[in-house]
Amino acid sequence: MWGVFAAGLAAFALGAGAVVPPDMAPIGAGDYTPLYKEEGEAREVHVEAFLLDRLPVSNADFAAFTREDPRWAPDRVKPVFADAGYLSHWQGHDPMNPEDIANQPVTNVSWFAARAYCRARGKRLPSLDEWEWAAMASEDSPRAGDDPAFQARVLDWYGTPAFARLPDVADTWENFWGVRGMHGATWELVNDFNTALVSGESRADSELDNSLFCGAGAAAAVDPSDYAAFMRYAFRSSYSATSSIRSLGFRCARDLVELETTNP
Amino acid sequence: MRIMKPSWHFRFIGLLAIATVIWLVMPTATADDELPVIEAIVTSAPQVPPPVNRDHPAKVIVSVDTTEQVGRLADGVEYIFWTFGGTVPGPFIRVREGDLVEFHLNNRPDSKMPHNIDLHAVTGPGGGATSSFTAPGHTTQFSFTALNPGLYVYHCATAPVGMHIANGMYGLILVEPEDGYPEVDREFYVMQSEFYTKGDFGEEGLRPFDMDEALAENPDYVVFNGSVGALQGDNAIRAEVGETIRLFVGNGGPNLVSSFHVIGEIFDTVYVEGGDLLNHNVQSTLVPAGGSAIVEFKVEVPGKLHLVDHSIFRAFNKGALGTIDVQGESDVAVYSGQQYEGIYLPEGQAEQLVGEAHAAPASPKAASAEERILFGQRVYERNCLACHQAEGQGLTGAFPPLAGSDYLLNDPKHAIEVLLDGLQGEIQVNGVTYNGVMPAVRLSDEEVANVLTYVLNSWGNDGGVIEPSDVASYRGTN
Amino acid sequence: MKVPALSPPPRHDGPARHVPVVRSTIVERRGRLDYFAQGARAARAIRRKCHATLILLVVAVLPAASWAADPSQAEQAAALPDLSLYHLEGEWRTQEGTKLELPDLAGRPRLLSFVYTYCEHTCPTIVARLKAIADHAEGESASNLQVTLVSLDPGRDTPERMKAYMAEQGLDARDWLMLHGDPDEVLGFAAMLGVRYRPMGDSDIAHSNMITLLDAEGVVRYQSKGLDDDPQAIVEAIEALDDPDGA
Repeated sequence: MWGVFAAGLAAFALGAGAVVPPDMAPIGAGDYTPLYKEEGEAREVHVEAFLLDRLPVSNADFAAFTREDPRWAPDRVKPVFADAGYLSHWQGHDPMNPEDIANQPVTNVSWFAARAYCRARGKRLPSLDEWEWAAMASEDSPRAGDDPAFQARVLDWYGTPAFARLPDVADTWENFWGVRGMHGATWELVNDFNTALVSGESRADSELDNSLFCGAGAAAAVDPSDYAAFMRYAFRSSYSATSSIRSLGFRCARDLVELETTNP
Repeated sequence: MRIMKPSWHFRFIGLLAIATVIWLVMPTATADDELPVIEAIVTSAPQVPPPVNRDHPAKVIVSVDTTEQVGRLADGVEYIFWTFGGTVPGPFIRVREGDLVEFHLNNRPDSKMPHNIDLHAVTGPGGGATSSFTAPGHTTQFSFTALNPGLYVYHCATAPVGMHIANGMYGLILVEPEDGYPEVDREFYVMQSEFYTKGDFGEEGLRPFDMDEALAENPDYVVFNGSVGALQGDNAIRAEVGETIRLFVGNGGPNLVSSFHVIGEIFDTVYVEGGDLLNHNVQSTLVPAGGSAIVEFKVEVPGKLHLVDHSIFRAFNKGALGTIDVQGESDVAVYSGQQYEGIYLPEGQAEQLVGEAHAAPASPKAASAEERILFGQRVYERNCLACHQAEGQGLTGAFPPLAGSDYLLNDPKHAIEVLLDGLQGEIQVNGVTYNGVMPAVRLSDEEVANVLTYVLNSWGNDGGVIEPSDVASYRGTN
Repeated sequence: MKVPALSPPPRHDGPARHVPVVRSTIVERRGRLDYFAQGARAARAIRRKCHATLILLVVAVLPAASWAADPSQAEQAAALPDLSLYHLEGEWRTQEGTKLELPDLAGRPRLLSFVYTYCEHTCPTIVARLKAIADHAEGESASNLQVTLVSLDPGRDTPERMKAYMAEQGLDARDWLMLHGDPDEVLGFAAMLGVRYRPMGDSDIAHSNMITLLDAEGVVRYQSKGLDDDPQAIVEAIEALDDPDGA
């Protein structure tokens, strides 16, 4: 499978001296088919190899960060960076207690807060394309988008209301790349969440609204029946950079190149 | 300019005071602000809010939560419904033409999906969808003026739109004309929709949405008010004889058009497609997916009236059934009840069958006289019993007996002729005159032989066997 | 609610700043611009007088509170209201190549749009509209207004290119400012305002046609989402900055 080959390449790129931090997994380069393609754009998007956190950021991880940088503590954060729901699920809970919510994925964080966390760890948020590419992997294939069993498992979670207790970050299944919780724990933030040029009216978004947006062209869904992808797309277009959502968490990413230069 | 900054709080307090003073001396207000403000009364199906009963527009505040919750689709069958207001269909909203509706859409924090609302009563982009796109745990607000009276569907329009509707996100908003609708005794809210599940109709357990079935427009469930039985049994709509009933009927779809019909009623008035056009004396009215109808009828007699989608397999095999239980005194002039029960014998059937005997279906071949009697009994029960009765005794004066019948037993082979050609005119059987019609029976040679052998060997008759070859030879000579 | 919302929030910001429904006549935010539009001049005059009085008061009280001549960035930021966008960290360069941080922008009301100089679609329309708005608005805030264009194409829009663009467009550097930042800083600023954009093809960037009005402290006072919106509403929003209860 060429995906395995790509993974091999990634490992090779990392080989000479570079050390992958144990909490991150190298994701091989590859092509993936985004939900929407603009007129004239290639059907597939190429994603370079990168590093991705093996686990979603947990409440404990994030609590440690808010102690290091109290500007992001729930009682200190400025409303231009996070809305009123920010970390509201910590109320009545101890985010550092493993018996409580410490090991659950952190949610109710804003995009700004997630970005600040990743920066503080020398990382960044994954791009939308990177996230989608890494999330296309099942346990044994980097590219399981067409596998009905994989699709069904992904949809299972989308179809379940968010009131269920979140699983601990380590209790989700590990995919081909060694990454857990891409599906079945929370939605996850991506860096360029605001690239969907949507009007809020999904039925009109096959054409760019020229009142709202500058640009030409129309977009078409490559596979309109891929409703898992549709749901992610709709979800991403529903939040803003300050939104906190109970089922929305994140993990961080890093460039491979950056790793090579910083780990001689 | 930076000089202002340290004074923020001071300035703020000052502004508050000044704003208060201005408020007190304010001479005019905008047209909006003059409208009286009313919290909308909303109801769950089948209930309908009371008529607005106003002669002036108002600002009506409507606040609806979107939820995702497990609920009952049929007995033993659960489904994860996405809802407006926690019910399927969503709350019934009732406003008046010209009202300014301030709509708040609140997406519960435990929702997995963003939602929005497209009210067909809105004149504006997306019917409000653009302005109400709401992430989980958030709320949005928009306002619209209800320009056109009528009964309108609302639904969620978030991608994938079909799935949000298929999961239960629809309801009705009524914009009353300025003068309202004529007074009636009872009003109810009925909304049809269909569900696409993994598994067949009635298959128990929590059943997920099935995209393939939705694309094929082949639902497992077609229901009124969100689940099988939501309008039946204890949940039936009740009314009294003599009352006029108005049903606000909607169709959430997502795919099917409803042929809405009430068994045993004629709609005195239909507001076609929920608009101004009135039609009278209507048996079934079409309710488009994403459309509505208002139907009115007076219930004249007691009994159970059944609401169906007259695409009738949906009613009896997929759940599209509801009941109106009408109580009160009967009126035999309107409906008599059963006055007679008897036998119906269509005329002319013998003629219709001439020449069709060759098309008789294959039947099992009897290997012995006993088998012939056994197989013949089945033929008798299907074809003869209704008239000649279970013991071959017939009905005196109407259908001659076969048990101990001199007509039959004196010449059993004549019976072949009777079966194949029918019999018409006066005959004497055991001294009684019969003047009826026996139609030709569409049977194979084997079946004729079997049934006659059965008759000859039953109810005290003295036996004998008719062979298929006897039948064939009769056919051959005639 | 962490902070009292003093202004109509940007629509896309969601419920955090959602103003609870207040069903009295005047405080109804939606109606306020309408109110001005319909010109209840008497009330307006009263408020102007009150404002003048207030400013006199402030001026009288303030000298003791005025700050150090060269405050640090942190001090500047700390003095900004919680809702100020200028809390966003990051380094920017102007068309002159001058480095600045967002708190440096405090002090003047600002019309803000995201464009790029090679844009051939609606950007010229937006710039024309910004000119028209700046020309039409009257009053103290209008005269102090600075129009700011943030480049969505930092790779090609160097300070030199931006300066040339301003010359081409006849944009006076006293009242116009262009900003260049790292792609990630641009993303953060755009995200804060709800501006959506993405590269299309090799050289185009499709983006929101949004115009945002910030007050002198960087708080969003008005947002126009698209070209279908009436520009007069922005003019009125600028003029409303002069009114005390519009602040």
